[in-house]
Amino acid sequence: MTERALTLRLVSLLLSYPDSELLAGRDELTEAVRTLPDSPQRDRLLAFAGWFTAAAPEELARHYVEMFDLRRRSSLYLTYYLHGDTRRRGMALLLLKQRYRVAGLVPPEGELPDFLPVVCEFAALEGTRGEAPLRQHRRGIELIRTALHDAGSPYAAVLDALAAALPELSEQERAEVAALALDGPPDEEVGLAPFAPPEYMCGTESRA
Amino acid sequence: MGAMPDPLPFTRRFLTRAEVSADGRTLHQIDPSAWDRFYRDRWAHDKVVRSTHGVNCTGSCSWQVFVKDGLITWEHQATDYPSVGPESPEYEPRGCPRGASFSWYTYSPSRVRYPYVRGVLLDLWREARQRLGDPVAAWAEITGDPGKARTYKRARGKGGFVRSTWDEVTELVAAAHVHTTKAHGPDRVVGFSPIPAMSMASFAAGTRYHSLIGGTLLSFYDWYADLPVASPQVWGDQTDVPESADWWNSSYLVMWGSNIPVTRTPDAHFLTEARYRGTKVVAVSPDYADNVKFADDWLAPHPGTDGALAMAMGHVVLTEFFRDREVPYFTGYARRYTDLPFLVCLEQRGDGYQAGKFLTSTDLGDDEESAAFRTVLLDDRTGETVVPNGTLGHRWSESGKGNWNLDLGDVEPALTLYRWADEHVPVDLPRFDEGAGEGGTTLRRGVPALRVGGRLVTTVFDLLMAQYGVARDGLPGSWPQSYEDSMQPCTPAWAEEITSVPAATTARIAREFARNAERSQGRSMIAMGAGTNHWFHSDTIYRAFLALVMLTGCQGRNGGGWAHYVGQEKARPVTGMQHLAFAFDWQRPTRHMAGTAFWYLASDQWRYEGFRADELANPLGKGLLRGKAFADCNAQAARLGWLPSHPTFNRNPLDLADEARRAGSSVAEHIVGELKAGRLRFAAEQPDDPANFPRALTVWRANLLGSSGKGNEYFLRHLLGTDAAVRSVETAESQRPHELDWTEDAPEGKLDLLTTIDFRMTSTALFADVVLPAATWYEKHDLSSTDMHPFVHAFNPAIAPPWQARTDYDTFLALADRFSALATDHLGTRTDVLAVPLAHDTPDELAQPGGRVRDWKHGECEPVPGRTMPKLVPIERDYAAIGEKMRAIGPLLDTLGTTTKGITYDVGPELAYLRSQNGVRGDNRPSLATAEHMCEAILALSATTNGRLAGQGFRTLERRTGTRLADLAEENEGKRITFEDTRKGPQPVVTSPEWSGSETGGRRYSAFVINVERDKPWHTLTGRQQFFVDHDWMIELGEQLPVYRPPLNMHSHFGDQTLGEDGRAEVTVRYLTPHSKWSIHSEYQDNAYMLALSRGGPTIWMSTVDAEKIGVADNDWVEAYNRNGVVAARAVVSHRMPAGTVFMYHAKDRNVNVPRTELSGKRGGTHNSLTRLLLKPSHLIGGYGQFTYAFNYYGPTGNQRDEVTVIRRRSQEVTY
Repeated sequence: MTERALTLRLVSLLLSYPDSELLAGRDELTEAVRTLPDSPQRDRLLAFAGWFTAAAPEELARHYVEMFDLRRRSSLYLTYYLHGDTRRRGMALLLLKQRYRVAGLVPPEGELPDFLPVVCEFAALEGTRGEAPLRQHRRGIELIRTALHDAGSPYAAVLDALAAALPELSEQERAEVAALALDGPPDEEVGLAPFAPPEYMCGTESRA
Repeated sequence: MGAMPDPLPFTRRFLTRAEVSADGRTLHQIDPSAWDRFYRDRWAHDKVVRSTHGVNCTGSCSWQVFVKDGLITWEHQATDYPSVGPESPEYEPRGCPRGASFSWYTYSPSRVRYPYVRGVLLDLWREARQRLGDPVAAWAEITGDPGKARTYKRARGKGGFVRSTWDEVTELVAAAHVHTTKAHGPDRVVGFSPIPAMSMASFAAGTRYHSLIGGTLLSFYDWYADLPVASPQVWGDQTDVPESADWWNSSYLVMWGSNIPVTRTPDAHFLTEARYRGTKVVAVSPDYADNVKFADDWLAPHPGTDGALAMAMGHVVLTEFFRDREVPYFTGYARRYTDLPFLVCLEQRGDGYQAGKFLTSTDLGDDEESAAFRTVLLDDRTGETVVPNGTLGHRWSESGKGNWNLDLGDVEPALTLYRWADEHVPVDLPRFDEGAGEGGTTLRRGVPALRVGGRLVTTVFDLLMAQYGVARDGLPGSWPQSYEDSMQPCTPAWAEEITSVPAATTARIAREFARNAERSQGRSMIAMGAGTNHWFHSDTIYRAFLALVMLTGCQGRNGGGWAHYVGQEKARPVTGMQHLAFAFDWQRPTRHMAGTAFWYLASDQWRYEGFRADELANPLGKGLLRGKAFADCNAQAARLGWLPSHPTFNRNPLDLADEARRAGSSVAEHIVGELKAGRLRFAAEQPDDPANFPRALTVWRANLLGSSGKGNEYFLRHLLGTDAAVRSVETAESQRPHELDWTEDAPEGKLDLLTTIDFRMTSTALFADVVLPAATWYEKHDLSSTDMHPFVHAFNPAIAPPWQARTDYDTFLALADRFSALATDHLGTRTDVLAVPLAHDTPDELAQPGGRVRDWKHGECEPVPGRTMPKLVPIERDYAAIGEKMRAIGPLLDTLGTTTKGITYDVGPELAYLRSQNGVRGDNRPSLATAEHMCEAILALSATTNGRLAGQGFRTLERRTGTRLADLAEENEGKRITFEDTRKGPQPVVTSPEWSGSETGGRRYSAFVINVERDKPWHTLTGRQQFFVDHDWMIELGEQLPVYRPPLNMHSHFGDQTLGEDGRAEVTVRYLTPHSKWSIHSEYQDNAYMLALSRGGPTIWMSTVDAEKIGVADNDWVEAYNRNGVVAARAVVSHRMPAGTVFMYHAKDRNVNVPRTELSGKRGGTHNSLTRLLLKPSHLIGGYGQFTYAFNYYGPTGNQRDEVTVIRRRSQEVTY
């Protein structure tokens, strides 16, 4: 396992629900973080591990549910950020699932294929080729990261680590992320364009 | 980076390597162009599954769901509805933008994916559970410790959920139910789920569970104020209406408060098609609603004054089509199918008279059985009195067998006594447009009268002519001179003053409506909606509407009559659904409860009244309501056996049965004795005693706090015990109820456990203690039907419930199992006792003759169960066997069969069929172990879906009516719709005695066609459609006949509610909460599509006039407040709105864009923060004829339209 794979595997685990198994392994997780070479990723994961190890289990559960289960803004389902609640989302989910299959992997039954811990695990298993979905959903990851920072969540550090492992955002991507944060996920406007003979159409141009 | 071993101890993975099969082979995709195939196949679906949209939409449209690799990727309207035959438009396709955006709920981030419990409660639970070892003892300790209880109740609505497991959470809920049953009584375990028609198995799973343990089931149709109370009053029928394809058969269609394109979207095309055919369409709506632009005429009465408009139209119809010219079609219809010819006793009142009771055989000295229920008319040929066939007395007597029909023989009923009259006498009639208070005053007009058997009588028709102010020569009293006379009710000019609709327009529309009916033999229709049905006095509004369709012979005709489209819930396979949903196969009856009365007491809204019931009484009343608060009326209705009342007594019913056994008396004797001695009280008299609190509430398929909870802030404060923005003071001491115990400190947090089962995090879920993840409508087996079309069809799982979601069916099975396990030690087998109200469509209708109120508590009679008080029915419950009873059809169906609307069916062959189809359990009982089994059983046991039962039912009915009916089902006697059939596509149902219309020969369904064409009586006192009702309390309220009652005058009852701070501009306006086109209740409002199409988040629509008064521009933030609460919203300023009225669309949930309010400083406020409950006393009546109880058939409505609110601009900086 490469250090990079370990980093992604750690991100995958740390972003999972803090159930009893994960809680029991907190020390090992911290230890594993320590084995990483000095890097921004290591610093950020260590910062998170500190809180994660010290916090009471009930507090961890409450915080996780609040951040990831009951808030759209920092939901861990990546295709939501790219496609919102549109019909393209089903196809995007399918695409991921097929990608896992092509790699000889069986997609999870109890979880969607775009769940960030799943996507990270895929990257950890498949190396560079497996990181394609992460790169494709770079903007969504950035949105989650920003939302977690805004909410003052310690989980922001995990997303920092993940972001640091990925290519930097370009100027254009940054602008897109800002627009997404402002407007929310995309919606669909099928059938919303006005239709009528041209003489009736003045003033109805879309303000896109 | 170098390679290193995985240092982590976790074995779990989301992704696993594809397995090699047992024979050593494995499938590898070696095609290097694998990705090409993905793109090539991207529109090829693995399967297409048919389903529909669940509980909250009346459309019941069939949809195709496309599945690929276990993912729902697409959905599409089904187009294969069975044809409705030639010369009529088809049903297909059906759908709307809301349904089309449903599938994205499946994977939406807002979905409830795991079982949740609020952390503070779960910590308490785990600790106590661990320490005590016994879950029931743990729940007892937590709820018994005031400190602990307060801690978790105060946390409601404030987040803090953590995931639990199904196992843990099922045990918690089951322990709470066992403890509540044991310590407080099974009737303190309450279930709420509405509208069985739109997913019958899911409904039935929970109601069956509650029925088996003895829990209380709350009604919803009346609670939603969708029940048109006029329908049971006039017809003795809950609701029966035409399917939408029957609009095509209409040639004059009035949309009255029903916004068809918006709220009946999939059906609206029939309206378009009817217009192309030449049907005239009229819209009556105070605002420029979407449907208005499709109408030929638009009448815009002030909100809530529709009754005045309808009365004026009735005035025109009676004047021009009955007085000035006789229309044989109308008078023939009136004589045969209405109570207009029946005789009413006139009682002396000062120097005049007033209408009393119907003249009955008893009054004529007859002492035959049920003579008090045989109403009398005059034969116009002979002048002799006659008791015609078909009265209630014929329905429930031995001698009535074969005579319960509308056949008049040679008799020609006299509509008027004008030519027979001994004298013309003055009668006092109620009017409510004038007078000091809500009770109005009286006016004096005259009727022709005749002395019969020592009594002065007149006909209902003569009284109606007087009520509508249609003058005839020689009659005394004050009458309008012309349509232009605005001083006299009910002229068009009088209505113009009230409604603003020009008198000439009213007269023209009325004339057209009736003339069309005359020429087409009854094809004039009124489609009415919540705009007219959600008022406090909606029953009077509706009776004025129904008078129009009955006078013009439109009811029971295709293309004519009423078309009430509010909260349709026609579960067409009703018999199977009801018997299994309420576990009538194991025990009868169940604890059905009137929802509004329950919430009124449970949420302590009764403590905040500004006026009393006697305020509503007309001077014609005898003072029966004098000094009574609304809660007093409810308490009286409970003890007289009129309405159910659960929780029932201030003692655990299980303990009552034990006491009786120890005392060696029957349970009923014991209870009557204890009540008489005053040792036992009805819980409705002590709603704030902890012994009487509802303790555990389970809500499924519903969003109580986000949609229907009128008086939201009272719910939050008293029922849940958390933050609330109630601004009202409690009722002044002088106005308080006399019969209820008043505790100084109102309880907060009555409820120990609120469980919500949903797939969305609704407002109800946000306040729940436990949230369970439900399967969506594309993830389960179920059945759907509606009033709007004549088909039944299925829900099917396109995918298995994802994450940890479960179907409602499986959830309740698991709960029943755990309940049984815990109950083995804690409960065992116990005897329960139910107080059961006098029931509709049973001989109970004969219990209280004349609708005379006699109260045993006041010594006016003895308490006799089943006559002067509720029946007392003991039921033995083996609490350890609940889980097994859930899964098998019980033995009562073998011996008692099934009964719907008074007709009993032998279902022996059906049980045999189900044994083979579903398999058996236990003692050779047909299985209900899965939702599919339940669906199969519902279909097999219902006459609409099983032709054999339809034929049998009609033959049974024939023995009572003596007329021919069975031929209606003959063409389908061999037809049985199986669940498999419904999974393939929508299946047309069979004509059945369960309903009043006919599909025979492929015709369109319309209500009461069987009554009109086959002389089958209505289920009323006279057996006819009743203009006139004579229960004591109806006399008290002045509502014996249709009458106009204006909206309640909130200002006079609750005073000026403006704050007037610092001269800030405010305006007080009428506050309405209609449905929008971007949601179905709270559903879809959080959906990106609908948020994009609408403005999203809470909005209040107001007129340009009102906006200008308070300096509000479009999209500004405003605050609306009154004594009930406060809500912040953006203003939508529109010319569409009339001045003085605002809309806040129904069911704006508190999870999208809801800021803190300036006034309370708290986040939240919903559309129901400004509303509250008011009980109308006439909705509580029972024990007499059609005024008897059935679930969702009768009961107080949770109306909300009479409310007013103050609006002002607020700071444009909002925080969340």
